[in-house]
Amino acid sequence: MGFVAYALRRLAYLGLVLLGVSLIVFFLLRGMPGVDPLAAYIAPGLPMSPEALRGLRAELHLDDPLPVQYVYYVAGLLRGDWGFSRTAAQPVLGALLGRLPATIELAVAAVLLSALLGIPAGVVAALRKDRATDVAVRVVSITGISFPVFWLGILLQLVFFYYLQTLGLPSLPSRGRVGDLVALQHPLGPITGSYLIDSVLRGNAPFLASAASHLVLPAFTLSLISLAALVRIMRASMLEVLRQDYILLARSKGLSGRVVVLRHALRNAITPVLTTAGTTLGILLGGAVVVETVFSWPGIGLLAAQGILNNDSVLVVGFTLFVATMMVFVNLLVDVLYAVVDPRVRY
Amino acid sequence: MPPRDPGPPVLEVQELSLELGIRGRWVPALDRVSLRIERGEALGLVGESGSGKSLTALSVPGLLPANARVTGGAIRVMGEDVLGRSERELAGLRARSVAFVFQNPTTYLNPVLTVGRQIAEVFERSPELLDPSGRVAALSRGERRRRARHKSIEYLRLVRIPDPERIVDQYPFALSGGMQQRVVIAMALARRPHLVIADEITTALDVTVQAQILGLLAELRRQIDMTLLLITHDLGIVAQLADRVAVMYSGRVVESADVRRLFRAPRHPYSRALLQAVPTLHDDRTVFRPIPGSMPAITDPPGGCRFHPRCPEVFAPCAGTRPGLAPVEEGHTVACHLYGGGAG
Amino acid sequence: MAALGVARLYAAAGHFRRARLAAAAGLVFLAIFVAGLAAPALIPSSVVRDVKFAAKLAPPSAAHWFGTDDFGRDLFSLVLLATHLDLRAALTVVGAALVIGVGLGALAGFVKGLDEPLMRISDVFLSIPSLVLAMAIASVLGRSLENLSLALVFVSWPIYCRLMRGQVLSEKEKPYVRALRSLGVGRVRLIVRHIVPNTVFPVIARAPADVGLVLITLAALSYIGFGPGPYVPEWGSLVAAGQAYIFQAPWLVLFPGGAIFLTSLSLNLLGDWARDLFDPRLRS
Repeated sequence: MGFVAYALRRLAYLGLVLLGVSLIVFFLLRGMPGVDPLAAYIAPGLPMSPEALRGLRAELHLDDPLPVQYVYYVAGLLRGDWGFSRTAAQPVLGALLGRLPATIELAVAAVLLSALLGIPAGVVAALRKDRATDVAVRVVSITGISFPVFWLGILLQLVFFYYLQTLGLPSLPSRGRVGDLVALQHPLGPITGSYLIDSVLRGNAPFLASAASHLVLPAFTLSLISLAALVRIMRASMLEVLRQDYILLARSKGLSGRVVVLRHALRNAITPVLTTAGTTLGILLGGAVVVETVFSWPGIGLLAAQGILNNDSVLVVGFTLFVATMMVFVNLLVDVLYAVVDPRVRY
Repeated sequence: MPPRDPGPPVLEVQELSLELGIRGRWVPALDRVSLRIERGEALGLVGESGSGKSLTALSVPGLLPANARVTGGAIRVMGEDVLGRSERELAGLRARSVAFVFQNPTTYLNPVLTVGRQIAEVFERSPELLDPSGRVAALSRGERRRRARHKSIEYLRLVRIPDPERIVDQYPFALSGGMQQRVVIAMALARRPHLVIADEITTALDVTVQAQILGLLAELRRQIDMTLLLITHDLGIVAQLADRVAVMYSGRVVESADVRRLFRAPRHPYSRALLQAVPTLHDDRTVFRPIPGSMPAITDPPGGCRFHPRCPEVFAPCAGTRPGLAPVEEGHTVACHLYGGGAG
Repeated sequence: MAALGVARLYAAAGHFRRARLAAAAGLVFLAIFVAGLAAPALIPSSVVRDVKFAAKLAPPSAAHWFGTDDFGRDLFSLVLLATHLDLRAALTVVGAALVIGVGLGALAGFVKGLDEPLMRISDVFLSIPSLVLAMAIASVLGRSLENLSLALVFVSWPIYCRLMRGQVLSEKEKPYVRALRSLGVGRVRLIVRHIVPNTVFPVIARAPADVGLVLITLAALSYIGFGPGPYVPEWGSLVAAGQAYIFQAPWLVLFPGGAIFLTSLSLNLLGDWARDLFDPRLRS
């Protein structure tokens, strides 16, 4: 069968999923019973003249039957025309793409944090099952899952920003991506869009320090959700694998405990973690909306939240489609990675 | 048979006693089991399910499950004590001295590593196997890997796997049950162990494949003078491969003899009943004679001789005193009051 | 074989420890639930409009257990009323999602023709993160708690549908089903009296944890701004309102947030225990 065929099959399937998402999104925009599709385009308090309204109707093909509207809509999507956002005063796609690097930087930091902490924690908890470390890990992880993300963010701000300041200690910033003063005095010419990478590439130390310190609290907050879930899955998966016969055989070969765990057990145990990578990303993106709001982090989540407050359905719906597309591609990546790690899948 | 080399017996199990933790209680599972295997010999350890033969075998390389504890006796491999060793020392023992071959090859092979990798691991652990002259440290990693792969192919060939250069890069799920079992045997032999323990290795295979594996083992024994502890419930396998036999019942060894002697003239009523229960092609019988009753649960064993409730020749001392292993002729011991077992 | 026995022993012991924990969690949740149930009866809704600027931002005291907010309203009453609202919404959402999801899932499992399309549809819904989809639906429908709840129902049913379908499919293959069919047992009777009871409980066991999740999502959405306004008490919007005064009056953020956390934690512990109960590997 081979690798490439497998990847192509997954791609085709995910393309279908995207189509379905576009249907939902389209229905939300145009097909909701009792909702006037034009309402989203009209700013409250700013009435439009009847001609302007007519022009808008024609532009959106609102007088055509729904299926025809859908075709125009999808054609527009593929062209890059995702509508115009009042909130951003820009076309939706452009607005989202412009703020995407901020969200990616945050999400990647969160994923790295949760993986670096979560995977070893889960492995150790499994190896020391039912002993103190295991219990501690499990307590922390169930607390983590139950913690409302926005509350955590606020609490962290309270402690690390407010209280540290009153104590006269250096504190971590609670708003934005980089200090306003620093941005003015040491401006950064963007290369990749990631503040951390770019400031390293350009040797801009003050910017790097400021950006890094701004990243700490939001990344940590966002990582909590996936961290807790990751630890549980890793632990359960590891326990399952350690019970397997081939682990006994590996031990019977005289291999050291470390080799058995790392080479034999971990490779098998990590696959369920990968499977959940797709859903984890989804949860992270949802969480990003909240975290970006709490910390005023200028990413796509914050933009979407502002869109909600503004009744800017075009933006919000465009955001939904955008996120779904990202998830689809990440899922594809995960499937490919899965096939790399577990050879049985390719056949 | 050619004269044996002198030297310590490869395996010596002396009065091994072991308990299992079941539902919160410690229950005796092995009761003063004794075995002995000389170099080049094949000992068949025979018994029904639950007789304790696997436990006995697992205690040699220290692979007992977590709920088992040894309460007495000694195990010596090549004259060296095994019980009470640290996990590190035991790992060394497993790497070079005692190789265990398990029952169901499919679940005992790691599905995400190639066959070659799983054999080559052995050489990673013990690089001295790659170069007998001992200059291994001087070899580069790449060279070592190349040699390990080459050796893996050699061992695959040794176990008669066709087209080993191709198989070495395959994943276990691509192989048939019989081939998988050969791979596991190759992994065992690659360590050049003093002792190979084979635990019901053909039980999970088809009859035809079973015959092939047994044939392979017989050839290998001749070819490389392998010392073998063969665990099985199948007397036919014992007849084919073993030099000596030990019969176990309910955690105890009840008879131990040369294989031909045992088959010709079994003494212990259990051994006799076992042999009678096996139908043969030359049998004119139309009625099978199974042994009435079943083996007692280890949580509730009968007193005295464990077999006495089912024994057709039970008499006075059987319910009270446990019979010890007593010699009945040279190289043939039996634990039965009929043969002067005495108190054991 | 014996090793298996001890493994079960460990599992059972763990089970008892967890059961005690789950019992404690159950009591906590019960207390919260009763409080929420009784809230409208105990606390007049006029409290919400009981603006007393003189008493604003007072710390917790005997008169006001949780302190007062920036309008001088008693925070304890507000949190209690919010308990009622949030719990009712979350329970309704999960209840509706369960009914829809289990129903559709069972259908997918039994009716060959419906399986594929239903699975594709739920795949599409599952590919959008729940918060995002809820946001999109609610933003189109308008900002209110009812619309949020509706949106969350849309978001939650696919998981139950998938689970139920998987359970039904594997149950159908079991030997006892074929045995019963060959004895002439009718299909409907088979489904209702045998298959459904055996498959539905593991799916339901997920519900407590999901109630917790929906609670947090609801609170998060109203924190961002979907909330029903300052005159309808809701945990998330209480936290949002309190954030402005976080330094002077941290209790405004601590108590409502703590209520969410406590409810969600007890629900998760209950859910864990319920799932263990139905885990086929632990059953003897």
